[in-house]
Order: sequence, then structure tokens, then C-alpha cells
Amino acid sequence: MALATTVNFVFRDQKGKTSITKIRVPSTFSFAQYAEFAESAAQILASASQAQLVETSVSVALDLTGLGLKTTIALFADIYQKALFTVRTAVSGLFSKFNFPTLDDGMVLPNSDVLDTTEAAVAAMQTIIEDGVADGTTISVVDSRGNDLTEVSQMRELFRKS
Amino acid sequence: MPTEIIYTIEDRAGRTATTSVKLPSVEPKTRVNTFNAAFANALDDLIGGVIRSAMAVLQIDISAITGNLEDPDSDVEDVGAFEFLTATGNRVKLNLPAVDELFVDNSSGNLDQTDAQIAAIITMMEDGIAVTGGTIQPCDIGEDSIVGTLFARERFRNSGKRSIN
Repeated sequence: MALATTVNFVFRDQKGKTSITKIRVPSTFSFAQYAEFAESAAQILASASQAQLVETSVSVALDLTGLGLKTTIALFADIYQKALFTVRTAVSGLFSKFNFPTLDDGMVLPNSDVLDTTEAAVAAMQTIIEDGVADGTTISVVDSRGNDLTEVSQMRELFRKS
Repeated sequence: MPTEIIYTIEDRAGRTATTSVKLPSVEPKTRVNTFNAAFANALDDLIGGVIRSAMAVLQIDISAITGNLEDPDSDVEDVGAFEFLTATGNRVKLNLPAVDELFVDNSSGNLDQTDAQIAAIITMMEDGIAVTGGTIQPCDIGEDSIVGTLFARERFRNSGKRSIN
């Protein structure tokens, strides 16, 4: 069964409280079509509410079937054990970070918290973050401001609450 | 705002955590799916947990919306509660925070479905919204289309999250 796409609307009232409402729609439409729907629906809902609509987003479930991902959780898997990737952006002085939970111990250099870049999985992740994914033209990875990520400056093991 | 793909990962104890990656907002669905296939595989090889879901989140520009202001009397706990029916009889709720009191019939607590703003919500949910190349029809989580309205009434519920103070 396909999982419907969700359009989310966040309202804020005069007291500063926020509340969210959702509309589900079929999963078969394009991102551009969802954007059209969301903007029209936002106007309709905002017109009937005394609160201010402060955020609208669309959540689209991506299909993981057929990707060959593992289905068995490793004995050591712990969400507190993470791989930290610190990445430079195209804007000098701006960095971005990734925390990947349940890091595989085998990716860490002995007697160190540094990830082993000779491990294929570590190198592959570094390549995707720095160079993106080719699909005709490149699909780049960016930071929250849309700046291209250029160079991984640090990769290490980290223990942190999730 | 970039498109964000959020991955949920489960560990041996059944606990879950998320991680995410951002892509330019101009990327269409097909290319986001292509990227997801590559990134999910790279992530899967790096971790011991299992990726349970991947969700692309698009931020929508609502700067062009008109009349979108906080009223001094607004309270998100004063809800316009709508309930709809799908083609196979499932119930779907829509809760509109801070519904305007002008739409409420004080003798019954029902929302006036002849009022233009309330009627617009019902029309949107029952008939969908026309977009380029088709119509997007609201549905339930299993993609069963909404076909009718059961009720629209005022309701008070403790649903708000205080974001300041």
C-alpha cells in the first residue's frame, strides 16, 4: 500500500502557541504539483483561521524497497554511537555537520576515534557529500542555506544522545 | 529552503534516531529518488542499524498568502474540527487551529458551512485543488479519496505548543 504524502501547516496564535494541521494527498504527484496544492490550501486555511500560518511543508515518503539495504540490525548497533562528518561549504568559514547514528565499529581506526578513510563505506559517504550524485548533471548536497558542500574536514566517532 | 531527506534508523534496542541530508530545492522528485538510492546505500554500509524510512520534506513559500495575520483574540486551542468520509468509509479529521468565531453557530457549536471560508475548506477536501496537469484530491493515509463531510464544528482542545516564554 502506498503511503500518502502529507502537507503540513503550522499556525501560531497571539499567545505564541503553535499548532499543526495536516492534509494527506496521493503520493503520485510531482514536487511542483505538491507545491501548487500546498500554496492554494494554505490560503484557504489561513483565510478561516485567526492565527498566523507560519510554515507550510510537504512530507513525501521515499521508497527504500529494492535498494538492497540490510534488514538485520547488527548486535552492536546503538543510536548513541554516531559518525560525525564536519564539512566545509562553498562560503568560507561556514561549516555543516552530519551525525549518522549506529556507526559500525569497523569503520574506526584502532586506538582512535577517527574514521578509517580506506574503508569503502567511509570513502563512499565522503564522496557523496563532497561531489554529490551524478544523474545527467550532478545532484549536489547543500547546507540549510543552500550553499554547496565542498570538503569534508573531519570524520570521527562520537557518542551523543539522540 | 533546501529539500531535506530525513532518514529514521533503528538500533538493536529498538530505539530510533534520525539523520538528514539537504539538496537544492529545485531538484525534482525523480532526481531526489536517484539521490536517495545512492545515499541510502552509502549510509546503510556505514552503520549497524537499519534504515526504517526516508522522507523528503519540501518547504513551501507562503509569502504570497493574503490576510495571514495573528488576530489579537486568536487561540490555537479553539479548533475548527472537520471530519470527512473516504470512498471506503474511513474517517479523516482536519483540525483548523484558531477558527474564527464568526463561523460558529453558538446554539449548536457547528461551523456555518454556508460561509464562504468554511465552504472553501469543504470543497477543497471533497473535490481537491486543480494544479498544473491534474487535480490533487485529499485522502486518508492509505490514499483512499475523501468523498463527503460528516461534520464541521467548534472544539476546544489543549493542542498548542508554547514557542516563547
